Amino acid sequence: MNLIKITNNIWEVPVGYTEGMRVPGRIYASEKLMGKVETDAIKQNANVATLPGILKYSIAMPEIHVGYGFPIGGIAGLDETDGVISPGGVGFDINCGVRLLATKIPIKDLLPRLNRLVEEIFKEIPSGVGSTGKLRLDTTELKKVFESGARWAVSNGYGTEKDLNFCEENGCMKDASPDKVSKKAINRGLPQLGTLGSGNHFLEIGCIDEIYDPDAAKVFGLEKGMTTVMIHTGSRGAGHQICTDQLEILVNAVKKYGISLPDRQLACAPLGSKEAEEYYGVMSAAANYAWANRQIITHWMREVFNKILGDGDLKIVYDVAHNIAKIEEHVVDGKRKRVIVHRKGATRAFPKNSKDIPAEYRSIGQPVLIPGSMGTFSYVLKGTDKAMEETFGSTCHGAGRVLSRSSAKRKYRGENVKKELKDHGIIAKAVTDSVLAEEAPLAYKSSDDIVDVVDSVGISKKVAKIRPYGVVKG
Amino acid sequence: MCDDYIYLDHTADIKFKAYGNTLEDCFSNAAKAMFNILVPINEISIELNQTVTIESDDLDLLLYKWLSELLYLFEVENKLFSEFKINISKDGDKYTLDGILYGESVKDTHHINIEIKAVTFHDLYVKRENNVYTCQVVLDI
Repeated sequence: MNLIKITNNIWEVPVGYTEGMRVPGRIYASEKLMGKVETDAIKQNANVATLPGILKYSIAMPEIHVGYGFPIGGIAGLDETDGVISPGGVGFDINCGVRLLATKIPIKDLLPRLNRLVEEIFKEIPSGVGSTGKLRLDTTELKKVFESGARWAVSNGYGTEKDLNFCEENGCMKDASPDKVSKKAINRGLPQLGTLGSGNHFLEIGCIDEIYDPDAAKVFGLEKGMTTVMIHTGSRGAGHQICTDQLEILVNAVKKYGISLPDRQLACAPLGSKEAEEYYGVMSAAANYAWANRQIITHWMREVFNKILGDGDLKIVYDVAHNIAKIEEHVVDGKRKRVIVHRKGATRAFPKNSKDIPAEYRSIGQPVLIPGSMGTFSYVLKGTDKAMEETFGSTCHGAGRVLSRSSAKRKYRGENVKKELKDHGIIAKAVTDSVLAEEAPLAYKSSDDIVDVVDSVGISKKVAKIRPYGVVKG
Repeated sequence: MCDDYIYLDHTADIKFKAYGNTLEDCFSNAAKAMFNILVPINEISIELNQTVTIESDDLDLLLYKWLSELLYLFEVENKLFSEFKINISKDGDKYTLDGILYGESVKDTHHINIEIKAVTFHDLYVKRENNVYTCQVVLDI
């Protein structure tokens, strides 16, 4: 069955594309990006449309690619009264997200010491496969992390009260249920708090390269030429285990509640059921772990900046979650409804005047942080009313793979990628060079193309572009 | 049959199929396919063993729980395994997998290739065709 072109950047996946679709799918992509979308990713978008209680459309962002359950770049709003919640719409890396820090230090003053800075970041912030942290927590303390997220970190000396104001949800989902977190998830979470991990996670030193919206940039505190730091990581093994545990429970719940699904990774439970409550509670706990993680890393980043540059004044511009499910209010068919919004590789993009964004940003809309792939531009956008109307207040999240990791490794060599980046003035440091090959810029869709689509459609608008200078990969 | 397991291309994650003349061989080969992603399986010596028991009333779920348990032992107890002696029995609707795992603790000489976040349920199946058991698994990396 063919897709229907609605506008230049919107494609409809018609009901009937897959059996049991309750609503059509909508993919936001240019003709060029659409040409790269795998059939399986479109099928996954259609599969999401079969979930009970799904409202409006099964939505996909321009970076859509094959995931498990939902495609990556997938968004679904499900009615609180007759909908379901599914870990397939969140992923294993619960609250994988991005935090942007900014300092007044101009990049030109920092560049002579960039090498030392990158080396020191690599030394001070644990990264790599199975990396374990410098913190030693016990179970009681870890439960407090699950309970209060970034606030736990601030209360323990990692950052300031003001930092919390500039995090989505103030860095804490209040419905977390730490007591429901399994022993296994606790055991995986204990050694990994304050670690970056590996894969596509990174720490990046960059610079504001271009401003598109001077008013918004001013409110976000961004000036051309200033240095930025981007932190991309999530809930580590704790989140992975929480999702693993819950998937088993929800696969059984699907049988119990007689829900018919095209993919068992979409396992879910009706909102209000015991299983749904438990999933939401422990998913929130994992989200809180991730916020604490990014907060602790922020603190160490400030220490490194202070040591190398004598100035550790890194302000948080914002911190966004791009793998999460949240209960929010949205207007659907003219009626205000409580909706459980799943964002799997998608970012919240709330507009100006939203009560859920920092007071300082209410004249503009929330900052939306879109990391590029390694060595490519990242973007700061702002949330819009259009996103509220069309995409449950959501937009894209990043570059999106086009080449599998193994294909990328076959095609590129780590040392060549490193050299090529160096030729472009970018220092890349990783535990192994092979991760640089896997994450080679050309293994991803261009972040420029993706951001252009969401900007042109208006579900978020460009504010500033960030050029990378130094990258630490796990 | 030529291979115990094969890897299939997947844009974001890792997908493999494992085979066996028996259900036990198929599950054992799936475990080898997973550990071989972390470290080449021939670099895992046998210095220790331990037992696990997994129960489920669903064969797909049994495979999911089996691999998830092994991943947990790698993550938390830092153990790599390369040989598996397992027995799968069925009592009514319930499957029970009793396994002995053989391997060693992670050492400095091991270079872990990639972080496996989890075993997914996406496209996961266990089936018997022409007297051969086949399973397929997608790992989130």
